[in-house]
Formats: sequence, C-alpha cells, structure tokens
Amino acid sequence: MISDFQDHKKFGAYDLCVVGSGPAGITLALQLARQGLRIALLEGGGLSYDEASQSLYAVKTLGVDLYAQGARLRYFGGTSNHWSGRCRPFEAADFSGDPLGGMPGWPIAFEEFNRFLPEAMHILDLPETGFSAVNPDMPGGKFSADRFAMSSPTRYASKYLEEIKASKNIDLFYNCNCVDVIYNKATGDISSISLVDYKKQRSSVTALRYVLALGAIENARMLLHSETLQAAKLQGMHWAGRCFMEHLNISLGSFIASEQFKYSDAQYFPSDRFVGLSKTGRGNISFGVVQEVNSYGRTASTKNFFKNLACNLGVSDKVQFIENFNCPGAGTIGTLLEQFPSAEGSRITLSEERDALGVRKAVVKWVLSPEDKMTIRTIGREIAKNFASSGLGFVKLNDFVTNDSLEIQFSHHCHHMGTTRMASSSRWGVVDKNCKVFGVSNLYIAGSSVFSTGGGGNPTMPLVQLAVRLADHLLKNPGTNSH
Amino acid sequence: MNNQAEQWVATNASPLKVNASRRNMIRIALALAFSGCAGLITGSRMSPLLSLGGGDIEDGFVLVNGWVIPKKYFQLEAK
Repeated sequence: MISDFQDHKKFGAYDLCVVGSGPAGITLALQLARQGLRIALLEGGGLSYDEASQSLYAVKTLGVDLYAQGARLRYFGGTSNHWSGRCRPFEAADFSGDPLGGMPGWPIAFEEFNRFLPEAMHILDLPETGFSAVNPDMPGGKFSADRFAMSSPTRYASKYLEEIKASKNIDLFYNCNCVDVIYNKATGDISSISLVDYKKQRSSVTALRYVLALGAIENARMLLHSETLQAAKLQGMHWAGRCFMEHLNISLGSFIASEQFKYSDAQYFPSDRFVGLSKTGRGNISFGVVQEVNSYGRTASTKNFFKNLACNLGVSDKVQFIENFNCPGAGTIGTLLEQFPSAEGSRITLSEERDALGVRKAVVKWVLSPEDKMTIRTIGREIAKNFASSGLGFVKLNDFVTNDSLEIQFSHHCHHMGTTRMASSSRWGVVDKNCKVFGVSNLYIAGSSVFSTGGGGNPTMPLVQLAVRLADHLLKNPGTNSH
Repeated sequence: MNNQAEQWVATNASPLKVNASRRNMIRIALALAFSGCAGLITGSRMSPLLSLGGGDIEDGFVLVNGWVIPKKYFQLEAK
C-alpha cells in the first residue's frame, strides 16, 4: 500500500518501522516484506522532487562546504535518484586493522561483510562479471589499476515503486516526516516515532522495531535531536555525529603523457604493499586526459616557448620540427581518497535554529586531520614519481601537495559516512556489529553512517550490503520488546 | 619518450648550444626533457635550476616548478 500521509494517517501493526526510503531503507523493507514481515516505510518527501521537502536538508557549515543540501535528495528513492552508479567493493585490507588517527576499525570480519556482496550486486544491477579495470597496473608495484563496475545506475524509485505498491506487507507513507524518536527509559526501547506532515498535522507510529535509514547526516541529526534519547545519556550516544567522513576530492595537479599512455581516463589504487609501507589511506587516483588538448595550458605554452626559442637562438629549422609535434596528451589528476575517522575532527552537531518542522538544524564541520593530509601528500608525490619513472609521462603537482605549509584545497564526493559508527562496544561507537544502537533494545541504523572506516570506494554498494545483512539479522532474530 | 624527438636527436648530432637566462634555462630544460631531448644542453651550468624554485623531492627526482622530474634528465647538463 502507498499513502500520502497528508491525507491518510491510519497505521497498522508493524514488525518494523523503516524511516527513510533511500537505497538502505527500501532494500531493507523489501528484503523483510518478501519474507512476510509487516513494514511501515516512511518517506519525508514526496514521490518526486519538491522544494519544500528539499529545503529541510539545509545545514550550517563549519570548515569546507559539503554542499550537503544539494548532494542529497529528499524524496522517494533518496539520493539514488541522482546516483552516478560507480561501485567498488571494500577489500580485506579495509577490515584487517585499525585506521590511523586512534579510532578502531570495523568490528566484523571482511568475510562476514563480503557474504552479502552478491545480493547487493544483484540489487544494483551490476554485471556478473564483477569489477574490472580500464587500464593496467602502474609499473613498480605501488599503484594497481582500480577495479570497479558501473550500475545502470539503479534508480530505486522507478525500479521498486510498483513492487512496493503491490506489496501487502509494506505500507509506504510519503510526505511523512520523522521529527522525533521517543525513547522509554523504563523499558530501554523506542516506544514510537513522532511524525508531522507539511500542514503541521502530527501523528505517531509504533512498531516492534525501528530502523533509521535517513542518510549519514540525518541519522545523527535525529539521534541528537531526540530529547528522550539524549536525556538517557546512553554511553554510545557520545559518538553520535562524530567521525564524519567523506571521500576527498583533490586536484593533485596536471600531467603530460607519453605515447605509452593510451587511456582517456586511467584509474589507479594504492596497493596493499604501498599502504602498508607508507601508512596512508586508500582511494582512487584518476588521470583524465583533457579533451581539448590544444587549448590546455602546458601544450600551448610549450609550443609558444619553442617559437620564442627559435627566434632568440636562430635555430628555427630545428625547433620547427619540435614545434610541429602532436603532443600526446595532457590532463588533470583527481582523487577519491579515504578520510580517516577522527574523534575530534569532522562531525555533525546541532544548531539552536530549527527547520520549518521544528527539528534542530544540523551543523556540519568538515576538516582534514593530520593523517588525511599525510595521505594526500604522500600519494600525490609517490604517484608523480611512479608515473615519471614508468615512462608514462610527467606530473606537475599543485603547490599544496609539495609544500606542507600550504593549506590543502579539497572538495566533496557526496559520500557522507561514519556519524553513527559501528564498534565492538559503546566505548567506540553508536551501533553494535548488528547495527543496533547501544543501550536501546529495538533501534537499528542502516546506511553509510554506520561505516567504521570509509575505504577507498564509493559507499552505495557497501551500504546496500549492510542493509541486506541487517535484514538477514532481523529475520533470524525476531523482535521481543514490550510493544 | 617520444619517437619524433628521438629521431630528431639521432639526426641532429651536434649539441644545441644555449645562451639563456637562468629562468629560460629552466624552461628549456623542462621543455626538452618532456620532448625526450634532455642532455642536449651543454655549456651552461644547471645549478641555478635548483635555486629557482627547484629542489629534491626525494632520491632520484627533482621538483621544478611543481614538475616531478627524474634526475637522469639533468645529469648531462652540469658541466
């Protein structure tokens, strides 16, 4: 069933209430509904884009701007509505130790995480051939070819709306905004979710268990906004909003390519050996050839230089030969680099200012830690050296890569992670290895906010893996709370 | 590096004599290095290269105006 909450506020009895209908929420709802569980699926936005809903994503920014309002989409299908489709799985090395910066890594084994990869690949319409590279490894052993796959991309709204409409086990309510999570200290569980529509009409929904699947900023925002949860002073709640991570979009510099370099967009990834020796993070480094080479700086300036040289030195005949070269290519180097979780670094907090529905606005502080800076500079310098020594060409690094005293210029990838991190105990995170909030018997979190580390790949497929895993856990462990 | 450049080197055996300012020396060295013609510059000291925005990035590489260049491209010039 599907209902506009502004017209229909009658709820049934539910095994599970899923708050948020992005990739995590829809994946979870469908997996469990297909097994017979009754699901309330709540979407704050409508079935298509609407400014009134989207404006509720406005945040205040400290540090570098994430463009958090435009990066996410607040309607049915969530951010999958403008997802690029790039998928790269976590690797065993992501689970083999603690990241730099003092925070612990994942509390689950890679094999446990990877068990749900095939189902996630199926959901995201990825080819059975898996993940492949578009270029060979860079010689020297430090940088491998990055391996990835492209989804069509899967748009959850168009792919799954009809199944949800037809499902007898899912009640989808849209224009149905979660504005509070009510915690009962006496029973230790969530008793209800408070809801409001755009006419400010209020209601609430109850279920045996609840899942927040609102995205990494909103999941933390809702935990921090809930006065009953905050009043309970649950130990793990100290971490709500902390350890926010993005993938670092850095323009490392530019390059000219030799004739050996035959790729319009070569993509590399630090090898495990390199990461082990240099103690850096991981991530994608792409060498993209600029399409209009002739108008690009290095080529034009070099040719002009040779013209001047020919006149000044009286060797125009020789230089004319060089001047006529067809330069083999020139382009820029970009990254998608891992950011380390930092207890005192990037985080989500709340402003005293409230949105149109009365929820306190999020404040996003996004900064680089010393370990992030070291990763950027080390990878930049090393890949420039490897590129040259491999005979692939030459790299011109931006000043902030080679000069440690300069401020690093960085941008976002719309990959929000880590604000309700998974940990082995409440001493280090918000949720346990089963994505259950520490200290609350019936509240779970789905999405990239539970990532303990961000890895060097795009987060959508891993968060779908975790949603499938959470569905598996909930199915095998029926709810037993007091409601 | 570049077959056309290598061909040019092979058919133009006499070294290119350069009488240029220090700043132009950098540009010449870089431009020729990119074209596979390093080693052609003789008769001038290349040490100013390092004092004009250049320096070692690590063993085996020189950083010149942001470009990361293997030192081998400069070995023949320091005469």
